[in-house]
Amino acid sequence: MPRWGMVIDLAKCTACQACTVACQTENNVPCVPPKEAARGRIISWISVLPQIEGEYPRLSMRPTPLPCVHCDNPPCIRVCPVQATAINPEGVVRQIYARCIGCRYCTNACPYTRRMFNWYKPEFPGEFTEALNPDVSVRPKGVVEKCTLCHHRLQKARDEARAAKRELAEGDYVPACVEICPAGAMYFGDLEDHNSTVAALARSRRAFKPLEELGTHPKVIYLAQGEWSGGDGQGPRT
Amino acid sequence: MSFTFDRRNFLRFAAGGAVGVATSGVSLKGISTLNAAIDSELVRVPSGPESWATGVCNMCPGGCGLRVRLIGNRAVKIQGNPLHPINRGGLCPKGLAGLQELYHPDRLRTALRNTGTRDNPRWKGLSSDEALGLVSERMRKLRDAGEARSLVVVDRQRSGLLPRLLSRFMTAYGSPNYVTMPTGMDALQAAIYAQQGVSEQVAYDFSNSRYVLSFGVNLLEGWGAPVAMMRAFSRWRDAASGRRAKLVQIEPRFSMTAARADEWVPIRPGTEATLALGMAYVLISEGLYDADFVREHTFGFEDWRDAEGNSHTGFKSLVKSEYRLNDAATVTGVPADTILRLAREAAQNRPVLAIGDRHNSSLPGNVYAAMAVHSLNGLLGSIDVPGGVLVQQQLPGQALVSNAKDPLLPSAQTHVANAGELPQAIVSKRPYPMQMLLLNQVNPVFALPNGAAFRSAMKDVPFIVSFSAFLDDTAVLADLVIPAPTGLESWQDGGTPPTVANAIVSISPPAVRPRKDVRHPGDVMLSVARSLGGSLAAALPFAGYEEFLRNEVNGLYTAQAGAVFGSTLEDSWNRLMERSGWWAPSYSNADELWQQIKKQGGWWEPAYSHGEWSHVLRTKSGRFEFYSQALADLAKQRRRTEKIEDRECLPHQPTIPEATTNFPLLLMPVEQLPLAGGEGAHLPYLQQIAGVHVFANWDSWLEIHPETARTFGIGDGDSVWIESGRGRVQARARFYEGARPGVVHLPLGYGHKSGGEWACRGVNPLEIVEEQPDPVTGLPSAHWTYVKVYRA
Repeated sequence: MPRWGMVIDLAKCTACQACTVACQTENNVPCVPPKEAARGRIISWISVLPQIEGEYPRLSMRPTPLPCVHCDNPPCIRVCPVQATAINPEGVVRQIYARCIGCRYCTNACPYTRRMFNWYKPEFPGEFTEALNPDVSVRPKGVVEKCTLCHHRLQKARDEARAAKRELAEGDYVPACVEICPAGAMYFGDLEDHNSTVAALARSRRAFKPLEELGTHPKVIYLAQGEWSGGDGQGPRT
Repeated sequence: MSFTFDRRNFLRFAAGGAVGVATSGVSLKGISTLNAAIDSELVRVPSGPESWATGVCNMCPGGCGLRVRLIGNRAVKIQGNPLHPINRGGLCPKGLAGLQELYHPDRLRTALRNTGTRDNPRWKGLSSDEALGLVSERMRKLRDAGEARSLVVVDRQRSGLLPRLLSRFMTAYGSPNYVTMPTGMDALQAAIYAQQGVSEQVAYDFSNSRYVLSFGVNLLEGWGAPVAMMRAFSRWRDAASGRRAKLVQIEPRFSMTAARADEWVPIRPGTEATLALGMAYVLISEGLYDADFVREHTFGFEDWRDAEGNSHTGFKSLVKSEYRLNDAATVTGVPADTILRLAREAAQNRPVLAIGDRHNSSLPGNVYAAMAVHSLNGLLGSIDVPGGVLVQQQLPGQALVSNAKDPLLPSAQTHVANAGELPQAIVSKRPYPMQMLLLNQVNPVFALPNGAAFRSAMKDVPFIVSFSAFLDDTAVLADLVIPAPTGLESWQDGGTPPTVANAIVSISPPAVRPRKDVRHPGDVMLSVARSLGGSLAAALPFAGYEEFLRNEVNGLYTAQAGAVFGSTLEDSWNRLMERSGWWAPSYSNADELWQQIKKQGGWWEPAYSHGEWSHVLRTKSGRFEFYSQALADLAKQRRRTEKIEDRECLPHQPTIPEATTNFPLLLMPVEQLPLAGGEGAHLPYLQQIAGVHVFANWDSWLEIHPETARTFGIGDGDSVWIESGRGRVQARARFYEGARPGVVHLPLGYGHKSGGEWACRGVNPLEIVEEQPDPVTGLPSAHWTYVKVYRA
C-alpha cells in the first residue's frame, strides 16, 4: 500500500507561485471578487507564504509553498461532527463535500490553515466555465474544501496502468503543482517505497516536517535552503 | 416535516442528536432536502473526449512551449511542453493564466471603428473583413500618394517570425519606421554593443556559471526568459551538480530576487557602477583579474596613444584614480570589507557573470553603468566561455531583410529607435509627418514612462490601427481596432528569447477554434500585401500566416543544421554529434521537418561553439573594449568634432540627482513576476498572487519602511498620496521591512484606464515618474523620481 507524500526543496523555490495557479486551474477553484479577496477569502489550496523576518538591512525571507500537508494524524478529522473528512488507507486526507455541513470546525483545527470555506456560490464570469476540468467537481457554497493531492489524477493513472497491464510506476501520478514547478523544486511519490525519490529526499540531512512538534505527522516534507559554502565541492550545507 | 432545512438547523440538529443522524428517517429526508437546495447552485462541468495540443506561450517574451489539455473543443489546462528546451515541462503563473485570457469576459468580440472623435469615441462594430478592407484602402492611398514612409509599425516582440514578416512588409511597402517597444534590457544591450560590437540580443550561460553578480536586475521577477532563469537558479542549487553556485543580489530593496539570493548587498540607490568599479579596483590591485584574457583580447586597459599621438586614459588608471576601495565604500554605503570579499570570491569562483546595471523588464538602466558592470566580465575572462556572456545565435536562413539594428546608431536605419522616441518624432513632424500608426499588440500609452506624451502625440496621426484582444489604454485611442487572437486560438510562433544563446524557433497550430471574430496580425498584413499587389505581393506571396511559417521552416531545412525539439537525452546526443562535425536529422525532407515541428513544438540549435573571437568581438579593435571606440565615433559624429573626452568612452558612475526638501523620498517602481512587463492585470489568477510579500491583492500598494512612514505620520494600511513634480497618485501604504529607509516603491502593471474592470484597478506609477532619457541611446529611462507621501 503506497503512502503518498511530497518533498519541497526550499533552496530551489523561486516563489513564482506557479503551483498556486496550476492548482486553481486543475481543481476548478474560482477566483473570488476583489472585495471579498480583501477580506481574506481567496481560496488557494497551495499558497506560497513569504515568511519575512528581521529588520532592514538584516532580513531573511523563506518563501514556503504550503499545501495541505496530509497529516497521518490529522486534527481536522477529529473535530468534524459529521465525518465529512477522512484519511484514506494511502494517507490522503479528503473532504466529502456532500456530507460537509459548513461548520468550519476543521478550518479552525488545522494548524496549517489549509482548509478553506466556500462563502459564496462559485462564480466563473463570462466563458471561464469553458476552462473547467471535468475530472473535478465544483464545490457548492457552504462547504469546506482543501487539497486532494489531485486524487483524480491517481484514479486516472491507475486506470491507465491497469489498461496497459502494468504496475503504477513512479511519475505516473503527480499532482498539478508538482508537475508545473518551473524550478523543479517539488517532488511527489510513495514514501513507503524506499527507492523512490521522495523517500530518499525525506531521509536527507536537510529534511524537516512543518510543525512536527504538534504530532500531526505531515507527509509534506521540506528541504532546508542551506547556504553557499564557499564552493568547497561539498554541496549545500545543511 | 415542514420546517425549512437550512444549515444552521441541520447543525443544531446534528449536534443535538448525533447518534440519530444515521438511523432517523428525519435526517435522511433532511439530506435530500439539502441536496435539492444545493442543486440549483451546482456548477456542472460537461465532459468530452480528452486530447492534447502543443502551443507556444505568448504571455511574455520568455519563449516557453506549451501542452494544452482539451476536453472536446474546450481548453481546460495549460502545461509546459516537456520537450521544449526553454521550459522542459515547467511553466510560470503567467503562462498558466493564458487560459483566463482565452475565455476572458472583456475580450473584444468584433472589430471596432471609432465613428466619434478621439476624445469622445463612439464605437461601431464591424466584421474583421470590413476592417481589413479599410486598412488596405488606407495603406494603398498612402502609398499611391508617395507617402509610404510615413507609416509606422510598433511591434510587440523582437524575436520570432512575426517580426520578420512585419519588417519584410515594411521594407516592401517602403517605410523605414518599423519599431519595437523599449525593454529594460536595452541599456545592457547598448553596453555590450559598445564593448563587444555585438548587436544580437544579450545571452548568458547562466546554468554553467559559478558566481553571479546581479547589480539590481530582477532575475527571478520576470526578467529575460523567466522560466529559463528559474531552471538555471534551480541548477545552481542542485546537490547533484556538485557545488552550489552563488547568487549575489546588489540592490537597495529586499526584492524576491534578493530574498532568494545567497547574499543580498543593500546599496545606496544608483551607485551600482561605483560598486562594480570598486570591485574592479580590488581585482586589479590584487592581481586577481584574468591577465591572459586582458592581454590577448582587450583594448583600452592600459593608457594608450592613438594614431595622432594623443594619449588616452586606460581603464586601469581610471579605476585606480577614481574608484579606490574606500571611496567606493563611501559612495555605495557597502562596507569596504564586503567589496573586498565579493571581488576575491568572484575571482576564486569562475566562471563569473556580472549583470546590470539596475533595471527591470520595462525600464532600461544607464549605459555607462552597464559598461562598468560588463567590464567585470571582461576582467574575469567571462566572455564567450561556458558559464559566461555568450552571443545569441541567429536563425539560419532566408530573411529578406535583416532585423539586426545598430543599438547606438538607430537612425542609420530608422528615424526612431524605439516606440519611446515616437512621440517626439510625431509631434515635431521631422523629418516628415507620420500619417498612419499600426500597433501590433502593444500598449505604449500605459507601458511607456512617457505614455502621456504618446497619448497626446497620437492626436497628430490621422489614422491609427490597433491589433489588440482588449480595448486597452492605447487601443481606445485608435480609429480602428482589429481583435487579435489570444495564444491558443491561432498559429503561434516564438523565437529565441532574450538571455538565451541557442537559436530556437517554436511553432504551434491553433489548439482551439477562435472564440471571436479575430484576425492574426500576420494574416492581416499578408492579405493587405495581396490586395495592394505589385512588389508588395511579390515580397510576401503567402496565402496566410500558416503558409508563411511553412516557408520559414523550409529555410530551416535548407540550412542543414539543428534539430527538432527532443528529450534531454536526444538533445545531448545531437549536441555531441554536432560537436564532432555530424548532423543526423530526424527528418529527410522539409515536409517531415514541418510535421515534426508541429507535433513536438519547434526546432533549435542544441550546440554552441565557444571562442570564435571574430564573431564575439566585433569592435574596431577586434577586442573587448574597456574604452569604447564605437562610443567615441558616436560622440564625434553627434557633435561634429574630433575633440571628445575619454570619459565619454569609458565606464563611469553616472551623476545621481539629489532629493529636495519638497520631494524627500525616492520612488522606485518595482516589478513582480505575475505582472512582469506591466502585463497581466486583467487576469484574476495573477491579481490574486501579485502582492503576496505584503499581503496585498487586486490593488496597488506603496511599500514603505516603517520608520520612514512614521516620520511622515503614515500608518500601515493608510490611504496615501504619492506626489512628484509631475502629478500624484493614491495607494494604500504597506509597511515593508525590505524597503530601504528613504525609498518608496509602487508596483508596475496596475492602473489601466481602459480594458475592463479588472485591469483598471490600482494606479500606474509611470504616470508620475520623471523621464530621464539616456544621454547615449535616448532610451526612455525613469529611475530618478523624488516624491512626497502624505495621508489622503
